Amino acid sequence: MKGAPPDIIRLNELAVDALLGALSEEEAAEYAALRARHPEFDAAQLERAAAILHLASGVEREPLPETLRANLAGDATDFFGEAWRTRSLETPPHRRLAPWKLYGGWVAAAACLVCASILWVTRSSRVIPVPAATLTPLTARIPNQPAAAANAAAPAAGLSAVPDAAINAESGHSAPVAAATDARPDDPAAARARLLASGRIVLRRAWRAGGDPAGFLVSGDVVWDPATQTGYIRFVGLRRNEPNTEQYQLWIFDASRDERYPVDGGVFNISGAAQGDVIPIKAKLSVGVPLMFAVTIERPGGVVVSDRARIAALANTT
Amino acid sequence: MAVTRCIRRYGPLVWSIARRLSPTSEDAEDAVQEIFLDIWRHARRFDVTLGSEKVFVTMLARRTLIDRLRSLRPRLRSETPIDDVLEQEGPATSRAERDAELEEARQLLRSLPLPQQRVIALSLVHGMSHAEISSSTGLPLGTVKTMLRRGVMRVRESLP
Repeated sequence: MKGAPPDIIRLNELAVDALLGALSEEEAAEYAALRARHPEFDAAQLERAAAILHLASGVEREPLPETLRANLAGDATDFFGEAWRTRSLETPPHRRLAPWKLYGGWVAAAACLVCASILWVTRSSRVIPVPAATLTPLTARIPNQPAAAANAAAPAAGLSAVPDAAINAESGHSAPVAAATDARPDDPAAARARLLASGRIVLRRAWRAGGDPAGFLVSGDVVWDPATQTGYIRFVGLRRNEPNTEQYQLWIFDASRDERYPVDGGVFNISGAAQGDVIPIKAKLSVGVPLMFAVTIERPGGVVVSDRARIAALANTT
Repeated sequence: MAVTRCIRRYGPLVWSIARRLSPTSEDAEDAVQEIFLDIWRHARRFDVTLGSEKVFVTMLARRTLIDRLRSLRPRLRSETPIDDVLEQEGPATSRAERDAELEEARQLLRSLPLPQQRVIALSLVHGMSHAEISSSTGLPLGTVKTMLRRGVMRVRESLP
C-alpha cells in the first residue's frame, strides 16, 4: 500500500471499514464515489482477508439449537424441494425460470452496479459479463390492461409456481394459504407484523443495494402475501428523499409477464427514521409469481416508463 | 456436499459467529437461516482455488450479519463485560483449524502487538463498533481504526 495514490489508500481504508460495518453515512458516500472513480478496485480479497482473520481470531463452535436445526431443514426443503437430502450443493436443482433471461437489463444493471458497491463478487463469479451497452435503459412501459386480464394465474397457482427459494414459510411449511380477509390497516408497521404472524405463507426477502448511492446502506425486507396480494416494504438505511425533487418507486417483476413490463408497486418517500420506514405495496396490477422487487428513483409522482437509470435497491426471490 | 452435511459441518460455525454478532438469540437464529439460504444460493460461486469452504461460508455469514448489525447498531450495546471478552480471546483456539491460510493468519495475528490482536477480536469476533472498542479499551478512535485496517490489509497481502 505504501506509495499507492492517496485515492487508493483511502479506498482500501474505507473498504475495510465497510467490511466491518463501520462506515458513517458520509464515509459511505465517499466510498461509493471512490468506487465509481476506480471501477477496477476489487474488495473481494479484503472480504476474504476479513473472514480469514475472523476465523484466525478464534471462533468457538457451539452446537446448533435443535429448533434451529429443524428450521434449517425446513428451509432446505423449501429451497431444494423434497429431494434435497440426496442433492449436492454443487448441483443445485434446475430452476424452471432463468432469471438472467427474465430480468434482462435489470439484472445486468444490478450485477454491474453491485460490483461497484461493497458487495462481494468473487473473481470466479459465473455472472455473465455484460457489455456496457446492455446497461442502456430498456423501454419499460406498463401495459394498459385490466388487472384481471393481465394475470390469469390464481394466487394459489402462482404460489405453487414460485421457485422453491422464493417462499419462506414463516409459520409452518404446510400452512394453508388463507383468503384475503384483512382490511388494509392504517399503520403499515403493525400491519406488516400482523401479516408475518398470520400463519399465511408469505414471501420475505432482504433488500440489497441496487447501485445508486441512495441505497448504498440499504437493508430491510419485502414481505408479500400472494394470496391477498398485499405486502410491505421495510427499509433501513435508504437515504431520505426530498419529495419535491425525487421519489422512490417500487417495481415488481412477475413471472407471468414480460420482464419489460414490471408491475408498478407505488411511489413512496423515505423519512430516514432510525427505526426504518415501512410502506404498503400498492401494486397496480395483480402479481402472479414475483421474481424480483426493484426500487428506482424517479421524478416526483413517479413514472409510467422507468429509464432504470437509478436503482436504489433490489430483492431477488430466486 | 450434501445439504445435511453442510448444515452439520457449518451450522455450529455460523451459529457461533451469529451469536456474537447479533443482539439476541432470536435475531441470531433468523440470521443463521438467512445465511444458509445465501450459502445454498451462492454455492455455485464457491471456487476452491480462492479459499476453503469455511472461509467462503464465513464471508457469506459476515456479510449478512454486518448488514443486519448496520441496521441495528444505534440500539446495540455490548452486553458482555469487556474483561470477560478479553479473557476469551486468543489467536488460536484449542480446536485448531488445519487450513494453511488460517494458520498463516494466526501466525500473523501472533506477530501483532497484543492490543491490536484484541482490537481485531473485538471487532471481528464480537462485532463491536469502532466507538465501542475505543470506549471499552481506552484507545483513541483513530488508533482503533488504524489497527483494524492494517490487520485486514496485512492478511490480504499475504493471500496468494
